[in-house]
Amino acid sequence: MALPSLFRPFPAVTAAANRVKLPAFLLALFWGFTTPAMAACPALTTTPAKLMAISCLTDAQNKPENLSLSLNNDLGVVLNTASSVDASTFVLFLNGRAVDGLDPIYDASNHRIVFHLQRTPANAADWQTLLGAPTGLSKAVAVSLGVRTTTSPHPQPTVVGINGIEPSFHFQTIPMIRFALATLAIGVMLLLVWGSATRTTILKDNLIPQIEPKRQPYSLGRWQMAVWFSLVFASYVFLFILLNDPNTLSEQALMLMGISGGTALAAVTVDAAKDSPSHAANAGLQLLGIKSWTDVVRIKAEIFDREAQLASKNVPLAKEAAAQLTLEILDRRMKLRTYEEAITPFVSGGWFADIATDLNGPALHRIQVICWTFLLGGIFLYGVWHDLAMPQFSYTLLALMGISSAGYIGFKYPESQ
Amino acid sequence: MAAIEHVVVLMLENRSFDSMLGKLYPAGPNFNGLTGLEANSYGGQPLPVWTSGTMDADVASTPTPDPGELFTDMTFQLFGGPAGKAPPSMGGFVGNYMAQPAADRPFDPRSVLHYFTPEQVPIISTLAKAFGVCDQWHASAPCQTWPNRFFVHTGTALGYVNNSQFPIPFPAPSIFHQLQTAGRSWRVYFHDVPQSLLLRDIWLSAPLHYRFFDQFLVDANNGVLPNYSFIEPRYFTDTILREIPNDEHPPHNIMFGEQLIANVYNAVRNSPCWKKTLLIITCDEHGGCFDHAPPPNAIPPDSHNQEGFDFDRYGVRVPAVLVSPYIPAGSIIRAAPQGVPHDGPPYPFDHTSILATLSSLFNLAPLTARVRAAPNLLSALSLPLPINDGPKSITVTTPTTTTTTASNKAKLPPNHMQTNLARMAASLPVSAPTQITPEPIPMADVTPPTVAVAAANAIARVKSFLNL
Repeated sequence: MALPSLFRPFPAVTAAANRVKLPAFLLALFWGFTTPAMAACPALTTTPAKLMAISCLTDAQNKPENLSLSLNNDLGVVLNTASSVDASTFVLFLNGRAVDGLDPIYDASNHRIVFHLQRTPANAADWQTLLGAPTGLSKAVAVSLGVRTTTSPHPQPTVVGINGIEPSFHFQTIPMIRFALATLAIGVMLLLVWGSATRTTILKDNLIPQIEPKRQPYSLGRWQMAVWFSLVFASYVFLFILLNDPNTLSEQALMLMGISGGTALAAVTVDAAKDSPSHAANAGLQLLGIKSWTDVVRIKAEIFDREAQLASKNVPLAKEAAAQLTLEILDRRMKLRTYEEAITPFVSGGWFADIATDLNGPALHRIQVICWTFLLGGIFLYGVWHDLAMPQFSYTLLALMGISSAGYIGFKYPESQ
Repeated sequence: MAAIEHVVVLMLENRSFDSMLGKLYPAGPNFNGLTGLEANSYGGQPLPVWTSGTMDADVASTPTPDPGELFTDMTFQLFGGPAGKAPPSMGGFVGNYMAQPAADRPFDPRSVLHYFTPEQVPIISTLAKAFGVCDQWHASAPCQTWPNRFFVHTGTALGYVNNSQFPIPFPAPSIFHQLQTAGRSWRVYFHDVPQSLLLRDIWLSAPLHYRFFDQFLVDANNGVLPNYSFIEPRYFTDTILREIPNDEHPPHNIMFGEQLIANVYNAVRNSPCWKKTLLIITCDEHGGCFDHAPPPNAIPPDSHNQEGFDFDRYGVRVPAVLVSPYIPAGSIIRAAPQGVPHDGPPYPFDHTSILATLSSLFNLAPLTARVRAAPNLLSALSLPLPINDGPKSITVTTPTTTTTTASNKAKLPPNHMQTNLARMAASLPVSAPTQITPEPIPMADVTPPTVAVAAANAIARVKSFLNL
């Protein structure tokens, strides 16, 4: 019988296959497989008479190279044996690794064994090997079977295709639609959190509300909180679309979010409690009637209006009125000058300068928080990508993050802001 | 003659000699201080001078509210009524105080009779003992701040007795211009609104000579102090910098003034210029605080007069401490016989003694007749070599200024001095002029509602004028 050209000899079993000279197996791989015959599941012989020498072959309708499956789809394997088989004795091997817990059933009408590609806690480690560290949306997966017996509870992938060749199919590690939805969700999140970061006070201190939002300095506490929120959110969405598992949030991730959220909250509390130069500037400006950025805009508009009145040739002003307008313009300009001088030390000097320095320059307690956040954030992302799970940081490492944040809060009391 | 090349003057506000240094030494022929028996009558009862045994913010702000300081107030304080030919009785302080318009808190008749012990004002007392104190230094006239400050700059007030009446700019020739013409260097170091900026003959060059106080510390440290440095204290509460006035003007907490004195002394003492520097610490006028020494008659600076006053009488004694390595420790410096009536020559020290000293040091002509008659301070520099180095540095603990404290003070209405400074600043051109017209500028009729508004506008205009 002519072999499909895509089959290649599988070295481990080529010798056995050649010895027994069995006909080729048919391997059918299909999507959404559920039939009444499967439900009935007729009585099967416990041991296929000639199974020791079987191989995998593609189904006639679905060539493996065109087949694309993902988690929770069904994979059927057609055997060339004439008799029924006990499907529960078969173990599916994907890329040479046994995947247990797939509850195979025998489809007598199509003469095949059907494996439901489900991920359970029991076989999560097996899937991790298969799905972890994805570099694309799909990957080629080679299929083989093993037979579990009482004497061999951990079978080898001995059931392969003709001449030991393993058929393969495209496994969609990240289904396109889910990938699009996840990208959209993460994109929206990033847009909400980071998209307006420069224009609004979402990541900024806002200690002096008189400063225009885009000139407000960035807050280390809020930045750290946003980093961990973004990492955990994106990781959760990534794992959900990959594994279809809503329970991937780890204790450690929650603790990291708690530490960062607590740090941001404590930082705000410290800022509110301590008597800082920014409070003095705020109080001083309030005494001048400048309570918010809106007031600054109003004063600028008042200057503009008065200048327009003075410049207007349509309505000539009396000398006294012109002098009064000039005085009012001067008064408002002086107010703005005081305003500018008061806020100058507190306006943003750029993202890194804001979060790494206080009024006295670079601050060690801030830089260490930044370094640890970057390091642990990187490890976190790598862990999610590589292991398909949020990393299980040791409590020592979490304590380190906590100490780092606590140090930042402690040093925030005396720091000049 | 002592080789003095740098004169530094720190002029604070509104404290009398008795209130600050009256108990520096035991009163006697060698020190005209307080015996403790000095008193003013009020309600038929004698009220003696007194001190508080403790020192806190309330004590340091005594007298509160601010006593009267107009010319008519001072006349009453000195004479207990209209001015006469007889020597002042110094018996009207309490009566005038209690006759002031209602303030934000009740007037306590004893407030103006309060004095600080040396322990309560450790900085000025330490310097007075380590170097020299003048127990015979009078304000140049029984008038407000501006007339007396113009005396220290020009040797005259041109007949104006109150702050609010002066022409802007003030046209009398100043010591600054005189020094400049003579090729000598000078600078005014200020904190917020320099009153001396009213002097007409320095307007053209003011941006070159006016610097914030921090520059003084730098210049002293670098050994580049000018020949004449005049330091003006902070007159306004600065809410943004959380700075409380350090001018010692009642009811401002005097500990901030003590801190300023310490800062100035430490800078001068540790400057490469130290051996050639004379530091003078004084107040412009007594501000309604009691002093028992009647002001003697004085030489009128010129022919100007106002309200029947020819400027032929000194004002109340003010604290005056001289610091120099040429001054022996514990010096008590005076230039005229003690006692009343005294009608020189020789005359006692007054603010024009500073001008007389500068004239002597830098070979300048006396600006007015008062300056010509004034004793200079060089006689106090009696050591043959600059060997009295005094304390290496002095420190004082000042109250912590919180934002709330500063805000509360800045919410108050400005006092007379602050209001007039705000008006003066509002009258300044937006930038230093390139030429000066002879016509005076009318003083701007602004009435800032709070210290905060007054300070913000005044400081912004001063910076604009000085291009700072």
